[in-house]
Amino acid sequence: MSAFDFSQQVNYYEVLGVSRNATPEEIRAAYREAVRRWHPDLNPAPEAHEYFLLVRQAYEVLSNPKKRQAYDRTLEQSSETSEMGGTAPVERVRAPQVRVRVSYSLIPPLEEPQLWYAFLIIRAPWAPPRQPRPLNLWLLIDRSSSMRNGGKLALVKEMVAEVVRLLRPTDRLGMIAFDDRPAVLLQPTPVHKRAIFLHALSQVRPQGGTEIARALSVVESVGGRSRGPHLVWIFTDGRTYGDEARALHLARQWARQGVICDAFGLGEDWNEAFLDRLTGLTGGSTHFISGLSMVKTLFPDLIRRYHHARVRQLNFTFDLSPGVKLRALYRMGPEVAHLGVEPPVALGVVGPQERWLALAEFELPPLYRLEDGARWTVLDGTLEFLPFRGRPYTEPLRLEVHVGQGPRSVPPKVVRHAVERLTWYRLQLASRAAWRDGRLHEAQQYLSHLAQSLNRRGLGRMARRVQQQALDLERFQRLEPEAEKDLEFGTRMLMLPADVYEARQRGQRGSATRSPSK
Amino acid sequence: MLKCPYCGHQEWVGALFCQQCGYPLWEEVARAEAQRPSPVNGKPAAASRRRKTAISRVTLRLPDGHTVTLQGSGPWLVGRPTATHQPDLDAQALGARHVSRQHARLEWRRGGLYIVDLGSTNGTWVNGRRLTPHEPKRLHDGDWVRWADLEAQVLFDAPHTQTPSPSQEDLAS
Repeated sequence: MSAFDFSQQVNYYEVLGVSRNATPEEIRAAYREAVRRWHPDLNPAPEAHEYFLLVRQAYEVLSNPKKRQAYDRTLEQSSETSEMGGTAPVERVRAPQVRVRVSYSLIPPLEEPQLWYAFLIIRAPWAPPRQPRPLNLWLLIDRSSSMRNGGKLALVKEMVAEVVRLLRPTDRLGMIAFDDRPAVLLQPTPVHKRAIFLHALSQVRPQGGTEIARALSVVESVGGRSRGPHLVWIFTDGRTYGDEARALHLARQWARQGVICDAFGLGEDWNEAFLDRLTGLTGGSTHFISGLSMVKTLFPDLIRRYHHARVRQLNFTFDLSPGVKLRALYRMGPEVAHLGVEPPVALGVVGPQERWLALAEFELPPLYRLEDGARWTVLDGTLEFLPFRGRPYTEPLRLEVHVGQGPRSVPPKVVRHAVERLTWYRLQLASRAAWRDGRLHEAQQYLSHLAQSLNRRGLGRMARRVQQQALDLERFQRLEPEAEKDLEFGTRMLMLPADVYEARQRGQRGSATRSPSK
Repeated sequence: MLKCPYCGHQEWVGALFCQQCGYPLWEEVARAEAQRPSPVNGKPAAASRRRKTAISRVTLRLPDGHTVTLQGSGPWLVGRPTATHQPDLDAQALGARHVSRQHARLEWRRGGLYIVDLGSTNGTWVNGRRLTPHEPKRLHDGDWVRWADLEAQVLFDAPHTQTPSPSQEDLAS
């Protein structure tokens, strides 16, 4: 972790992570967030206390207009004497960026392998941009013949209209319609002429099958030198056939060029596992669109995040110690994604007030040969923050345990919370897998265990839905595709931070009542 | 390996939740830790802090007057044994024939004893009222519980019961 250098002249704006022309409200919000991060009662890091005092000091000056003015004058004077390095495009927040909470910091030296969890909380090293960044967004619209059913094409048109509404005049939007063959509806065009997009969209007629890789290859040339994020959004309702490997290959290339791909599935037939992998490789995420009001809560979040992205991409590279296996890596904020376990892993971008949250599940080898009290490295890695301008910023990340006999501590709450949600997600996966294998009773058991666990945590609404699906499974001996999507994305959303989950829930509930029935 | 006290599933050491039933295994580990003698004074490490949530012994009195004492501190699974898994209260051994494999669970929670029906086929009744599956219900000393065709009176010292338990009135009416 980067140490904070106290001997250096501190800049109060950087301490709070706000810009020089921040409003009093922004300063207050930044102060509140900083207090939450650095209060010694909440943050066990040794430097937390000192930094906390600094935060208070900074707020005392910046929250008082007179003191702030005087302070600004001293800054201007000192900047004249010191070398400013051109225009000083980004403001670094020189504070530790990474916090790690682990399930157990003391590991008993056993002759058998063990599970071990680490929860990462990562903050971008730069303040958010003052102006929204210009976006370059390609929409890939599935026009295969199945889109005709259930008003899906109408919903897609509404989704595009919503995207156009949320974009700013300086953003550029391109559109491609695809079935077995892709067709460029519109080359990337500045968004100030909104009518063009809706006109181009009106020419989409459903036909043919779904072949994603071909459509992706058309956008291959997207990564440019423009200052803003490059995005590809896929709207689809189907499964792609036989071209998965090619599509994933393209996604890997995009990840290297800094392109982020998100997918939005409609209806119940699309292939979430494949789209998950595809988007996960680029640091993007996959969403289930149940109706228009879901779109209205989700899209503003996403667009806002990309407009105010602090970095172009966050890459995580690492080496594991011999015998260690990274079983799974999930991003749990700002969007949920099942990430790959092969480095480098792209973690995507975060918005102004957001942090990256990720849960890693490790298998540790038998450690009985180690001495009592030995320190043992599980993972040695680097976080690489890629800015929109300037040099990347890297931060070492090493995960270690102490080996020894001793009382087992209680795992920290954030770790318990994250692992519990992952367990729920896996229970529904196990149920669906059992159902597919014809092990009906087992599938049902998994679901009723899931319902119980949800109930225990006061998630009654979700628990009743799961219980209902367990009953349906018993009665009709089958799990409907829409029930599977509901389980998959219902449990997936639970992995989000609580406030985001609440907001999304409201959005989805709205759509359940308003969207046209299938 | 760790064994899930609820469903019997085997998990790796370090697992926080059972992958088969979602049971919080870390709680079990923490509880065992609290009962382990401290190297300093030989007393359980967290005995003094745990005092508040003291739990008492739970006894079931069957209609024929026999009593069964539940071992340990729970949670206890009521059900029929399967090839792989033995419930804490074996209903079959007590002569019941319509109890589900995983019928109900008894557990201490926040100083009270609770019962949860686990979606059983033939239902669980407390003082003649059928429970909604998966909704925990607090028990009072002396309540009559029926799991399908197995009936018993639940007896325990309730250190924190405030008013005379309403269940007694229920019984009288």
